[in-house]
Amino acid sequence: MIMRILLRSLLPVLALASGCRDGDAGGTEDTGADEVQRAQRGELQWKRNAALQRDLMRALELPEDGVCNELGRGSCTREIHHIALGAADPLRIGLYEPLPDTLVSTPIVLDRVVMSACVNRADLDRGGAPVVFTELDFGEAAPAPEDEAFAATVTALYRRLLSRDPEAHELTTLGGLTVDDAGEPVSAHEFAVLACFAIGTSSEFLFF
Amino acid sequence: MPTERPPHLTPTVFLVRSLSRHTRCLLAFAGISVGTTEAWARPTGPRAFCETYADAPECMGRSVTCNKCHLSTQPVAWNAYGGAVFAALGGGAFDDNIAAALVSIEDDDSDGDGLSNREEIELGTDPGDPLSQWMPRPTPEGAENPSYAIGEYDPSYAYKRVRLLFCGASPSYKEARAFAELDGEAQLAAIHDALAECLESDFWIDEALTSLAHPKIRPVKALGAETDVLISGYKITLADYQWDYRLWQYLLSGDRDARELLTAQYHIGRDDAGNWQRIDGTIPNPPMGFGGGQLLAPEHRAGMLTTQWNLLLNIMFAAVPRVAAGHAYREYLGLDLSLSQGIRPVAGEPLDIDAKGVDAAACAQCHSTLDPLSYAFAYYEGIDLKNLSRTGQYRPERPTERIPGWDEAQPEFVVLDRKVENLVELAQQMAQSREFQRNLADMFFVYAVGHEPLPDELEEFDAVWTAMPADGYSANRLLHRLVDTDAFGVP
Repeated sequence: MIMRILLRSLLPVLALASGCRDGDAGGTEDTGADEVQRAQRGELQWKRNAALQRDLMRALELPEDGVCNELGRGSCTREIHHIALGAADPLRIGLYEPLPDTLVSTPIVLDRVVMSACVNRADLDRGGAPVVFTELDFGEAAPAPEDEAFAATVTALYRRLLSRDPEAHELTTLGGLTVDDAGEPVSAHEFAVLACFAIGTSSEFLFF
Repeated sequence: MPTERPPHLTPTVFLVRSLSRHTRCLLAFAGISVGTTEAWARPTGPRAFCETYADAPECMGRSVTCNKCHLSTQPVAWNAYGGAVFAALGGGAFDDNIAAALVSIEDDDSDGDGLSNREEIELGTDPGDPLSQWMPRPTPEGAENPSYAIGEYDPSYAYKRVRLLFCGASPSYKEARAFAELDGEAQLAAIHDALAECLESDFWIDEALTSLAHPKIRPVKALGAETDVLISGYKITLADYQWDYRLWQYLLSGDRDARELLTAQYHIGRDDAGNWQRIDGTIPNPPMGFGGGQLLAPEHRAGMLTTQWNLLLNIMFAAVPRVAAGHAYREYLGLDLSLSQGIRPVAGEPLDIDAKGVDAAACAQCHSTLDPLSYAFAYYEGIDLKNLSRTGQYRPERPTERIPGWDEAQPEFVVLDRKVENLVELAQQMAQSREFQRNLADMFFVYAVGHEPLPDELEEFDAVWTAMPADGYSANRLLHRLVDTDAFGVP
């Protein structure tokens, strides 16, 4: 179930990846007629391992080892997948500078790290005093898009991960994560993870 | 085409000058050498080029490589520009006539790409390569972008970059809102306030600065203080590279003088609270280790070049420490001799003082610069298996012991065309050079912007690094200038 919903979560990711925010609920269409100005330099950098870990720690209020730990062997961002995330490793493999380009595995690792952080935060909030998902009732289904709890949850995630408020069309897009393929509500926990993952893997979060 | 060779022209020059311009270009592009025994690549060429075009972007704190004129230097083959220079020399003595030859073809378009040689030199593209071009950035088109100030300095964009690059994390929602509510001038001030705070952070000093040092220090865990290799109860530690990292961190933070990377005659410790501690004098090796201290007498020290680790790793068993010299030239001046960068041949060199065959034509082009750099390192011990405690020590008798003929040859030590008496002076010359300043700024530029300065960024980049003397050679002040550039803040 969660994998199918995950696949559907690519939709909002693609919408967010445009990096363009307008006030219309329908988002930006690439018609060319009303296209906004594109970056003149087009030289965004991507968050390397340390910045990715630190931003997830700050946004989701997770401890250093709470972001992503690979099978209990070590930190995904610092020890296991750090090369794919753009770090060097001088002591273990003599890699004195980061590789010049991303690896084939880099997008997968980014997904892995963000998913882990989101799941860890949702689990913590479900098991104790909630910190991020304060408006969700984890014993119930996900709130409907028109519920206050939905807007509050998405707004909290936008503020924490992207340092801004969501726009109307973004709320609409993320509303699709509250139900499964059959139109049945997913659980509040699934919604929390999916919404967090969709925003946390957006271009806006991963690039600067 | 004339059929008889005038007596003042050599056969080679006669042939080249007889060919049409386009034919010469074709030959050059095909990599065909039209030379005979006279057709050598000239190691003095890059220096001559930058003396003629001192203000060219490629000559500002660096120098052009042989590729400016050559497709290959061994065997010699020219590109279109090099072929034109060769023809313009007219068979005259290279060093005497190169400046005039360069000027005489300035208005030509040797590679046929639509720009004259002079225009390409001023732009920083290759006048001998039609594929070396720079396209101006497009003018922004379309509706105003609601999120970014496209085509102009965007304070919000710059602020986020400062926080991520130098503090290691994005601004929070609250911080971003507070920033957005400031007016333009206050936003610019806030960017610098944030940068100043970040430059004191653990992230910048202990993570980012440390990462930038890796290629310069090149640590090897098995030989360092953290090694878990023991021999008869002794740790195999041969040197401790943490001294190198601390010196690097210390000098590139706190508004300190970055030149001391090459001139410091002290070392830096750190207490449990993270406070720096300057240590003068020698530092003994820790017990139960072969190395790990700093035994070198202070008067023979030259900052990062003479730490026990650097001397161990880069000299090892070499009598003439060419690797140590090449490493210093590359990492602290940005001149990689293996890429033909920074060729400044010394007359009479290479002496091939250790009979390695470096005076062969193919080797001499670089070794005429490298070897005079290397000699000054020969007094410092790398690894002496019979006396491991000598690692990193200064021994005036070492060259004579290790290099037969050293005393008779009396080699001169030369760096950047200046004769020096010893490694300490050599390092001082390096630290005072424009190459040192530019290289340091380039490292930070690449870190902050993500690429080497492009042609339309060179003017502001040059303004950043040439301000280093006025800024007391402070890395922090350099970074404050850097975040003000369009390269950093224009999306």
